[in-house]
Amino acid sequence: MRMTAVLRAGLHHGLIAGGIVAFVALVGMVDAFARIGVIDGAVDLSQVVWLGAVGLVGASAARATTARGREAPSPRAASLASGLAGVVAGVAVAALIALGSAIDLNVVFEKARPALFARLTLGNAWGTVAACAAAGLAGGLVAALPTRVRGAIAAGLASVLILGIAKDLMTKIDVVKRIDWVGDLNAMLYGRGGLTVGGAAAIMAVAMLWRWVAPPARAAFQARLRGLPAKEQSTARRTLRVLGLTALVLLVAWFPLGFGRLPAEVADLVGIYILMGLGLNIVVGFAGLLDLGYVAFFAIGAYVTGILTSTNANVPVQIGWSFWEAVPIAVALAVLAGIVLGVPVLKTHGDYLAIITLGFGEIIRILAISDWLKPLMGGAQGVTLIPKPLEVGAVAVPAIGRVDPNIQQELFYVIVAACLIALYVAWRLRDSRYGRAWMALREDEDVAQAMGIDLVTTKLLAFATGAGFAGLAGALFAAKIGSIYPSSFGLLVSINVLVLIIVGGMGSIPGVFVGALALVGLPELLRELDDFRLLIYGAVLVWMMLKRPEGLWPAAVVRRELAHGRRSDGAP
Amino acid sequence: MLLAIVPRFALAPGDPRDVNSNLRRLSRVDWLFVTVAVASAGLLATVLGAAAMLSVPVGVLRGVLIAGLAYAATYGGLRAVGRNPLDAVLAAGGLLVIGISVMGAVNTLVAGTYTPREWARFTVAGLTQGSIYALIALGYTLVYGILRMINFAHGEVFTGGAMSAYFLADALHRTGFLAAHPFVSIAGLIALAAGVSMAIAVLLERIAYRPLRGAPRLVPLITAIGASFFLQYTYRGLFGTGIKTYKDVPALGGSIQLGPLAVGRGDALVITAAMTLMALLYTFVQRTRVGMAMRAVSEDKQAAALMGIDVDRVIVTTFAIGGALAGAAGVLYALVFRQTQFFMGFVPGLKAFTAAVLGGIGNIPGAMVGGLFLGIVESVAPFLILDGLDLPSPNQLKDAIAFTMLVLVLIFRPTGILGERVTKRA
Repeated sequence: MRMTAVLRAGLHHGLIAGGIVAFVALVGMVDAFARIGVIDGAVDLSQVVWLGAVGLVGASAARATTARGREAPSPRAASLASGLAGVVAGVAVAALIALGSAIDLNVVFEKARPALFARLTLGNAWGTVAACAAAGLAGGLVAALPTRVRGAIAAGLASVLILGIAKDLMTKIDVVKRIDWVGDLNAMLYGRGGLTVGGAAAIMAVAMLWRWVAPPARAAFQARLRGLPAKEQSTARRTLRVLGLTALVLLVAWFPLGFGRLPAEVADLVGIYILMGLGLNIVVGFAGLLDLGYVAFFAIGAYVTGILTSTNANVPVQIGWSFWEAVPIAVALAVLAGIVLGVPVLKTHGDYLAIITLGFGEIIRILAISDWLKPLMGGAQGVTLIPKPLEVGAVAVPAIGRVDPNIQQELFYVIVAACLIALYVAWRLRDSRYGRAWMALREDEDVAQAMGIDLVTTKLLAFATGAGFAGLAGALFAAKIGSIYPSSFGLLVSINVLVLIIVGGMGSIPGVFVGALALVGLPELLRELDDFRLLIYGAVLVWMMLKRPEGLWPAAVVRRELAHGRRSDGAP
Repeated sequence: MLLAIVPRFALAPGDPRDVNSNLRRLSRVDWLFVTVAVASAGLLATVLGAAAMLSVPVGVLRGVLIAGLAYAATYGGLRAVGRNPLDAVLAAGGLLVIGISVMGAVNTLVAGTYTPREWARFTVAGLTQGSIYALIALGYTLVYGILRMINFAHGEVFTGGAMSAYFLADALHRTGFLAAHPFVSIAGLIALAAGVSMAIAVLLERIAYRPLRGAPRLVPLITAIGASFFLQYTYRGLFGTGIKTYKDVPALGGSIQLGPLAVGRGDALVITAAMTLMALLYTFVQRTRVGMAMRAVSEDKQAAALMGIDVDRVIVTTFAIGGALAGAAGVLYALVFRQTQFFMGFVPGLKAFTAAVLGGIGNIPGAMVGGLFLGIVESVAPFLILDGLDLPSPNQLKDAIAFTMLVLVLIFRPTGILGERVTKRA
């Protein structure tokens, strides 16, 4: 690697890093994240974010200097490029601070206040430059380490970060309050503003050790398993699977009662999004029909349930059914809507389909909020007083004691059951004739038709199944929050679901679970993130499409294509 | 990049170097449509005339109309059955929607709810709104014509112009320059907004779309959706969530009397400015070398590259022009509607896309016609149609009308009013 190329990589990445830090600061992330401690009294999330960004760009600068044919860059080139990148980034940040103190940027940029610049100034301008240089250099050096060491360090840092910002949750959940030794452990790990220094070090050590030891151990175990005779091997694998599944079932059953109300509420939401994700995955992931109006069916499910069950005397037609009577009707109407809205878009493709379905979603919302349908759907006031689906008294929970579950905890089981049904349907459909037909449709509509696939039935079935799942999710949502308003059914719901299946991997069923946990679960744990949720979603969508279009947990087909070295798009 | 936009040589009309113009002749209209429309209009006129003479109660009139509708739907359905049952269903549904609209319109006109002056006011408001849609729609259509992709984030490019010009407008207002030299100020605002939006559009192309050339069609679309949300929430982070209101420009108050018609000065400015920009763009695309290169790339990218055209540069130019027009539209929008906010561009963006499709996507005059048409329909139809159907607060449903129209156009005439492009592409 020539010297000039190394320096150019450093300069280029440094400017990018400076831009990222300026963006993160002016957009308000630094201010908001400064309230979240990671390590008590030492590190808060804002520093992790902006110095971490410099570190990551430093690592990328170092990687850019990798000589052809090598796996890792040489330490000298890596440290030079990343160090330079860090210094350039630091100078850029210092320049922003200087600019902010010279003229009043606040006139245009709402977040550009002295407090923000004070946060970026570590001691003085030289402190900022030094910190950025150190962060960049550290990133570069880590990038130059062997893969196994790098993995261990990454795992350690990630564990500290996640456990640090999850402090509020970790100290509030029922397990911690009710089981003594968990409480004691918790008290040891956490201080007032995040982890204690000792706690962080301990977590870091444990995570690094785990990441260091676990993969070789797993490989050794797999090798031993493969060494067994065929029959014993299959028995052993089955036993392992049964054990794993039992543990998972027990954990899921224990979760809402053991962890308490807040985690149960989050889990309910995650479950509702998993349901919708499974449905949209059929439409978008299997059949390749990009539906941006998916929220319409969610809204239909919720409103039908609400109207049929509401006990509010203001509703002109008071039906007052129970939740269980209303659910089949809600699902059936959603399926019907899926077919009715599916017919007009049968002849459109790709982007046109996306825009029309988006239009449908908006029309449903506009109708729900309009004065015209107010007598039925309540207009902006929505439908209120939706009864709970079930009422359970106090129950004894192992290791916790007696718990009197609230609606969020009770509903969890209903939602899990619904998810299991949906999972089974989606999984069986994927490998059925229709599943194959959908995938053929996704790959090439004309060829599929030529092979004898009936486009009308196949497409309508995809829309109808997807709509049914969303209708069920909507019914559960109505029961969960007890009153529904048109504002809950905006385009953002469709986008959320779309993002989660793309992040998980289009067409991949486990991907839906991964995506829902990552995109719905995580933000709920971190309320401060809420303002930036869609900013991050947007960036994630673009980034995924550019760098990892197959998703976090790609579908088998896509993975196979990758393994064969073909250009994989991960998308229809 | 700026150099690329400055025309080098103007081509004379009829110059042999000029490839075929993109402006296409109005093509054959679906005969089924015409037959049914003429027949039902004649039928309605007869029925209404007779009813007025015999002073038949409104209820009976409606009964007759509904019977007529059912007949029209069945007729259309049966006509289409010969081709495909799906077409029959679609035709029946579409005719039903059109029939209900006609019924609403007839009811309103019979009841005489609004005076001719009010109708004129709705139309002018529609023209204003429509010329803004047309300017934004041009960005969609230019990009679609060349890359065959929907730049979903175009609405956010529009927001960027409107919001950045707000700060200049505010500063000019405080120094008193805005009141003293309103038109110079407005030109400055438009220039600033056009510049900012152009920069956003070009960056968007460079960072998000260029690496994806040749990827399957859903990939750039999803990227564009991501970029749209990213930009929206970036504005929210940078400029805050509050509504920023443009200050009153005194010179735009009051109205001009055009015969019996009073047109607000603000409306007049928007319509004139938009028309001027569209004329400039049309001349640019038809008469300059760069415009010719754009048309060539839109016809066939590879052949254009073989002829020595720098395709990447043409694409950047296209994004830049589309962005600049969107920025200008942003200022015009803000001058009429005053309020700017981080998500202000989303719905106008969707509407402008609808307008582009309505006019025939990829077709420049089509975007202009589609924009104006959509604007007028949107402002007139709630009062004309929904009012007659006795729906309360009809204006709430105007977005629903725009989307319904999009669906109808895509079903019955996917090539739009002027376009002949085949939209079926997997």
